[in-house]
Amino acid sequence: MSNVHIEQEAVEEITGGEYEREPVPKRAWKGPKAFWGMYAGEHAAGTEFMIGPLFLAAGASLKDLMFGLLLGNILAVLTWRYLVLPIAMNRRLTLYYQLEKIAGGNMVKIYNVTNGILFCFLAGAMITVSASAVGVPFDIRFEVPEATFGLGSGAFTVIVAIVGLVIAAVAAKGYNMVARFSNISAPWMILVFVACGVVSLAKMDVDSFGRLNTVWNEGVAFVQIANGEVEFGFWKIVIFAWLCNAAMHFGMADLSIFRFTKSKSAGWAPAVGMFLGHYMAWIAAALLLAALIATSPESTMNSAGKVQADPGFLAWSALGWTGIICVVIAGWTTANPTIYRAGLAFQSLFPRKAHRTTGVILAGIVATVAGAFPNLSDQLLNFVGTYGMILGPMGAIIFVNHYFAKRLGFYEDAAEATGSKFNMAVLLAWLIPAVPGLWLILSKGVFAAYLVIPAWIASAILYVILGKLMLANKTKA
Amino acid sequence: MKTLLTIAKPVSWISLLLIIVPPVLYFTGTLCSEMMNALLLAGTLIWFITASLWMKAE
Repeated sequence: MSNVHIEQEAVEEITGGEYEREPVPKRAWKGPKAFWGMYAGEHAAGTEFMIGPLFLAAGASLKDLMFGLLLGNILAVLTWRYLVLPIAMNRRLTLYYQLEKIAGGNMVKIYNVTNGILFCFLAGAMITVSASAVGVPFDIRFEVPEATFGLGSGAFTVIVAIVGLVIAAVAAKGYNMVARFSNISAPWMILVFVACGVVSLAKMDVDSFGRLNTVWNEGVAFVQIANGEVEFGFWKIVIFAWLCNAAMHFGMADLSIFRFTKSKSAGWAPAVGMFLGHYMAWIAAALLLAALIATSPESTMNSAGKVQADPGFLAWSALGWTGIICVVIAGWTTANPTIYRAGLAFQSLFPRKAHRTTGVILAGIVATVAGAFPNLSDQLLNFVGTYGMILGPMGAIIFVNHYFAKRLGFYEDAAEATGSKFNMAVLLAWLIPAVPGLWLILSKGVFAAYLVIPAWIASAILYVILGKLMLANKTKA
Repeated sequence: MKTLLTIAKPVSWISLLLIIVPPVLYFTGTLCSEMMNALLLAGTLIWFITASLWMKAE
């Protein structure tokens, strides 16, 4: 899964954080190569170790996974290319500045804090992933308890606390060092994912696709006997692969990236991230679990007799110390900038005289507490969908603002045009679909990714209606 | 220092072969698991030492 924080970080690395409140000037535009390199590194991250095995644990067939991911990733790339890129190239603004122009500064604060809270949960899951690897040499296993807010073993919780606090302390120092380390580890990490896949195939004695399919199906059957029957069919995989990064494409977070592009061809750059990270890495990580079930099924089970995806142990079983190092680094390099970004969002809540690290430390503590609940990382498939469902609708508002506001007779960049600090139409168009969506996910167990597009469309329609009612441009009438 | 940086770049890229070749040899049955893990770890260490030198310089 890609993370907006890493993308923002990469942009700031290229630009030194310039042009945050102005369109990017022509002299700062970048060729497509910069975008291909950036997306290649960003989508093979800590989340991949967790998400891949969850497909098998959720009952996906191998064919559905291979073809579903293929189609879903193609749709994701098309969404970046044809939804985000044209607006980014036309306006050349960051998401935040664009939102401020439409929604007003105070409304953007609400969006930032919401984003920050979601970042904390994502960082928490990555802290759990790193802790799962740190625990392996001490024979301390990651265990997913029954209760959503149940803790793992005492020793595992201590590891989570140590890992979380170290990550938070490093984040408080700024993210430049971690960003550099991420860049160094990216090529190596992609190859470690390939190695995971190759070694898993060897451990399963795979010599044909038929044999692989048989071992995979046996693995799925083993999980279903232990955990109960679940289904993760072709279209569910397509929707998940398409929309797990919805906050970045449907939600327009990557406006901040593409505002630097010189040519439209950069819009295809997410393809390299999708097919390295969300295809190869997910399948390779899923094969880790299939191989462990085939070779040592009892080691995949927790004390309650349920199969679980323990990323640290899976990587250790396949690649030894290299696997452990990879999971720790993958989790750390994902969690660290996430906490930093969440901290920046929280900082806006504190008085100006508060120490600059207050927000980051608060974010680190929230993420560490979240990481202590292993169910959170175990629910990562649903969490990333929830993330997209909540943040995606803001992209619909930007879309309507860009293409329809003037034509339909209401203010484009309404907050800027009216001098408002809080555009109520934006808040209503965002929350009216997002709140019931959240209720459906949390109370009715609806798969979160299914709600991303309905919420996006509902927000777009609502912003058109509310725009005409509340933001009519009378000077033009 | 300049010589070290000149050497570090090719060495780092070559070290990545230690991440990909041993698993392939393990798949073909020509390498045991322990040897593969040792080579992977060696490749990892060489990559991080050498890549950090030239990437920092660039």
